[in-house]
Amino acid sequence: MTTWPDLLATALLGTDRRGHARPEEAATELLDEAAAWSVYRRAGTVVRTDIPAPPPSPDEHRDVVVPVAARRLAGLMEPGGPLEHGQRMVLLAEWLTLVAAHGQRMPPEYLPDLLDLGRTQPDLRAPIAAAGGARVDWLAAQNPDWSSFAGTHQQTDEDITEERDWLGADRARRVAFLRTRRRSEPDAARVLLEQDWPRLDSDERIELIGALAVGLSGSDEAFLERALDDRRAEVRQSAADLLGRVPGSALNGRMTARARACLRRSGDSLEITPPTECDQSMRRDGIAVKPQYGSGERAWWLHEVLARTPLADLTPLSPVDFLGLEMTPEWKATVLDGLARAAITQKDPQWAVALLDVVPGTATANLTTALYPVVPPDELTRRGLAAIAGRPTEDWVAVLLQIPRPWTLELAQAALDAWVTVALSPGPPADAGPAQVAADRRVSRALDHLSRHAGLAMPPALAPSASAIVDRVREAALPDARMEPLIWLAGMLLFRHQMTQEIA
Amino acid sequence: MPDESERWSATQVLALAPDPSSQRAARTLGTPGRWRQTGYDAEPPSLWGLCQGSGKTPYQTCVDLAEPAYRCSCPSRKLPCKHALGLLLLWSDGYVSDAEAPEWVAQWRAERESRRQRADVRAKRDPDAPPSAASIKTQARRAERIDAGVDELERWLNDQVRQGLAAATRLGYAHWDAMAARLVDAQAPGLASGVRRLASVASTPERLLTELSLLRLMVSGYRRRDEMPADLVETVDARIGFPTTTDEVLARDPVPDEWTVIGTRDELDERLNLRRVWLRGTQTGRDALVLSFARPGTPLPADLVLGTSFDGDLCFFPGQGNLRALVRSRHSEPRSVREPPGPSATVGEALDRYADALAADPWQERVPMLVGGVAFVPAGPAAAPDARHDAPWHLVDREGVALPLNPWSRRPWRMLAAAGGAPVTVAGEWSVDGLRPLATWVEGRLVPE
Repeated sequence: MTTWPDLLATALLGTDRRGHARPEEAATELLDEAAAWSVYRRAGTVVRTDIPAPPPSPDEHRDVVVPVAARRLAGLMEPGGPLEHGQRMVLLAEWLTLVAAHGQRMPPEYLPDLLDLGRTQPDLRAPIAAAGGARVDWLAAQNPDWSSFAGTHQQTDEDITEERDWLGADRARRVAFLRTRRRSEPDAARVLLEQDWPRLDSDERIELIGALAVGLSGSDEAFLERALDDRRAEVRQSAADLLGRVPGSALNGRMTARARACLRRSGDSLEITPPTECDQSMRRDGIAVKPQYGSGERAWWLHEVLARTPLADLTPLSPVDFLGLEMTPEWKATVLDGLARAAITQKDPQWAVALLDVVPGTATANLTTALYPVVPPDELTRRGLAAIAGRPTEDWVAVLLQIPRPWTLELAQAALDAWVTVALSPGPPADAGPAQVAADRRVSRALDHLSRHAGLAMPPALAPSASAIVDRVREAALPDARMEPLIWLAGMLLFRHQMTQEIA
Repeated sequence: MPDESERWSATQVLALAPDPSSQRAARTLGTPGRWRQTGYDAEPPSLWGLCQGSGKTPYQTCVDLAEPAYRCSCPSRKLPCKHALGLLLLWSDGYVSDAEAPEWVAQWRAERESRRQRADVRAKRDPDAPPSAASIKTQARRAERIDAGVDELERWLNDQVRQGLAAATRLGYAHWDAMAARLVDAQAPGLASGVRRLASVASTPERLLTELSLLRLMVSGYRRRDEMPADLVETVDARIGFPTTTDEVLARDPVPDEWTVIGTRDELDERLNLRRVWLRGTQTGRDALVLSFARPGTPLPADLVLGTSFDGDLCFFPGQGNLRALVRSRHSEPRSVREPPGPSATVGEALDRYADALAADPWQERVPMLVGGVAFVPAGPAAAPDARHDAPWHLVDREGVALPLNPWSRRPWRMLAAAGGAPVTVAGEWSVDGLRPLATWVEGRLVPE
């Protein structure tokens, strides 16, 4: 019998090439033999026995959520429904956080889709890691696309803490290893990185140095200070950012000295002298020479220095007193902006509150929005209540729009009450002038915006009251523009309320 | 309220949806706040409820779980509509309690019963009546055409190897389609689709020779009908494309068993959508394939739901080793199965089963597989140091034997995540490209592809 390779070779060239006396029969014969081989080869699948199965994921001690909650997750994962993308992301984070808070875990089959989402949604990463359990780490190690999740979950899996994973492993695995090791033995982990540092290429350095954020302390300073002289700008920038977070670091000392040289108190006023150059030492500490956002060079350098100055060391004055000093109008905005950036990075509530009172409201909306999350909840509630009490609708709505989620029950209740009053107030009369009509439209629009924000910010426990309000307002037969925001708000609160109950 | 295990899972319910938008809508509707006066009745198993839509009058929705069959007063033409799906989800979550069926449900049941009786009368025509003269003539004409088609195919196959496959691999679709079209004219659709398939393997000479030789095997089989056992003749006839009517199939010996749906797979095409449903009999251990077709835009029948089982009779199409079957009758409503049916095979046993299937029908393209104690192994550095992006995944059993997964199928990340590297039971569709996993069972949950 002819072997399969020989049959194939003959078939490729064609049986006519062989010059058979009866060409038809030669072809038939070949096909008949090939048929026997084909069935034989299919039936005798050759299997491999040299494929090692990876170690299984560690045992989970938490229960998977009940089916109805899993279905809620499936619904939230799917684009194209009535929810906008941003709202879905917020609700997903809320769902995941609830699951973790109740000591449960998500059905792991949804993890691949979630890890894909997490690549573009950094805010989801921590909630996913919390609700996914040890499976997140395990799964992330199987796919380089998910490397940002590796090592996010606290675990003591032997496999990942073995040093062979450090030496031979790919980059994602090394980052995971380093993060894990930094939790238990930060110094030993850094020493490992230090030893390997000269051998690493710059891409590896960029990724690995970031892992030092875990367990960061003063004993990392010497290494980071050396990294400030690295050839790659990204490495220098990471090192500078990390040093800024080490209390009492030399970099912080240098930055404070620069800031003090720029801002000198003289009586009730503040003399502002921005840097005249960005010298080698400033560049080394991570300040970019070229201004961004089209500001002037000196303003840029001043802003950058202040944004990196530890606020606790800046002045003996309280934040309120310091900000009360007279400032040259030319530089005032730059100083406030730089200090606000510092307050945001350093999460300094006192400076944040003081700055909110002096930063002009609407002009720098992005800045105030970024300051609010640093402000403690009590203070946020106080500010919200004060706004509701004393100001026209559009103004208090503008303030509430900036108060980040989640709102306290007190604030949410007050906002609902104020809302009902506005909703039930009579609209402009039939003979209203254009200005009155326009003002009424603005209020409706403001409430529409507020409903999108408040629906996600108010505690879901308010769902029944919101629904009751909708019923009450429905009887009043209001125009759609006034009804719609309330209906939307009540619907969203109900959704979140049910979601909460499914997990509890 | 029936036992928890009797209720379907949400996955099963959503599998009934005719399209993704229905699934989404059903998830929104499957919450208790939307429904009033819901109820469940075990005899016959059915669900009903009133759903508040956009209009003033709520929709009356009712589901007969045995078939299943649906009825809703909403204007949607989809079957099942989003309300029926929402109601099923509500029930699957345990929100529907036992109740007495209201008048409108009873009325619907009565209407269906009378329709069914009329259908039964139609079905009870005498099966043993002799075929009419006209149909004998038609059959004779058909046989002549097929004879001619087989002759032509034989010469054509020979031509391919006489001229050499090296030349054939460079020919475009037109070359294969022309021959396929002639076989369609010859009323041999099975041979035609075999030839059409050559186009997709033409670039690989090894695959091409394999497929050509299997077509040759069909020609030889047809020529040697007189020497072969009857059921092998039926196999050849079925592969060539002699038609079998539903009545003929249903007249064959029924195979009673508890049948579990272990996998479903849809192939959506511009002209015709196809659904393959793979079943495994718990007692007989037999595999079965139920095919259904629908034009694009119309829903495929969804009466066989992944992860459910029912007691009933299947009738298999004629032909030795033919897996294709029709459901003749059901003796129970569908049940959720939390565990895979019967004993699952090792990789070696599953491949032996495939070899047996080929021995019975060498043209078998796909067989279902149910392998147990296997771990998903992604195509990582562990599997092959030189792993390419399209390197196959594997299922590795406890003995270390690896079953390659079909590299063209979707990567089973979801199943991998659910199993977490632990050994699980996997159901899938095996073909020469490898296994396409369709479902796995993890901690009492069924995780679909």
